[in-house]
Amino acid sequence: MIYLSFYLSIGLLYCLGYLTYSYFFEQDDSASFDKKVISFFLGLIVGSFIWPFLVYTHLNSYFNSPFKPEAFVIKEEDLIEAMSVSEVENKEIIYDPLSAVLKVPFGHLNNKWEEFKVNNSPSTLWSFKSEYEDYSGIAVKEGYAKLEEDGAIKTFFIHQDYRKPTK
Amino acid sequence: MNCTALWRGYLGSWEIKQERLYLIEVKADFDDDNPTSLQDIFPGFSDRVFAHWYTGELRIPDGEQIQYQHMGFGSQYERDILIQIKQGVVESITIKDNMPSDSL
Repeated sequence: MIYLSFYLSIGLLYCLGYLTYSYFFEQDDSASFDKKVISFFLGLIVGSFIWPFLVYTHLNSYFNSPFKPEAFVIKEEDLIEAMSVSEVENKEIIYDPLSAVLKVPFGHLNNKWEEFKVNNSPSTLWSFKSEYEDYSGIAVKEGYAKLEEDGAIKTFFIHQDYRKPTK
Repeated sequence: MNCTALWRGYLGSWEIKQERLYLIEVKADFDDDNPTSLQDIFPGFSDRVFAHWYTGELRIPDGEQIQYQHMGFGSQYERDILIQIKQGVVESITIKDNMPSDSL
């Protein structure tokens, strides 16, 4: 009997701690007060019996946290080189021996490039290559970004958007 | 061209010539169901378009099918021809043997 009391006491303390933490830090605003109270006491009673399973589940989710995909953001370390608009345009002229593209900056993407220039009137641009991991693997974006006076990047032009092959 | 077997709604035909990737045909329809052509999408280029915007790996299955998977391009064939392309230009071509080693 003393072992059972000891077992249930540990479970009671563990569940009390966990439910209190959940109540304050993982607040579910959609549930009513009555529902919260019922859930609390129900959790306390059931949890006192099955607490080893709960400990295992909590530890497992803590150490094997689910994969969180990264979002595309141009970071400072992604920036490669500062260039004037004319330097960018000279570098990005596309040449094709079969003349299957106009000899203009960014070739078939030239309309978008001209639009970018008109809308953002950049004087200096930074070339960038940004890599980030999402559910499908590693995605890569290459292009040119305009740096604001405070160093923020709000506008950019992407001319290569691809994935690294999975081995 | 709108069906559940082709969500993107078009078929493109590609060609590698002089180590460059070209789009040579697009089979698709306008919203009014009239067929569209390469010329409609890339005015002035009716025969071929240099795909300089493309970087990545092309996989061309080759040989007999050795494992069927009822999903997209998941089935496995004897070999895969893997073509690495950087800005429309072929960088390398490798052949991957998919046959199990004990079948040799």
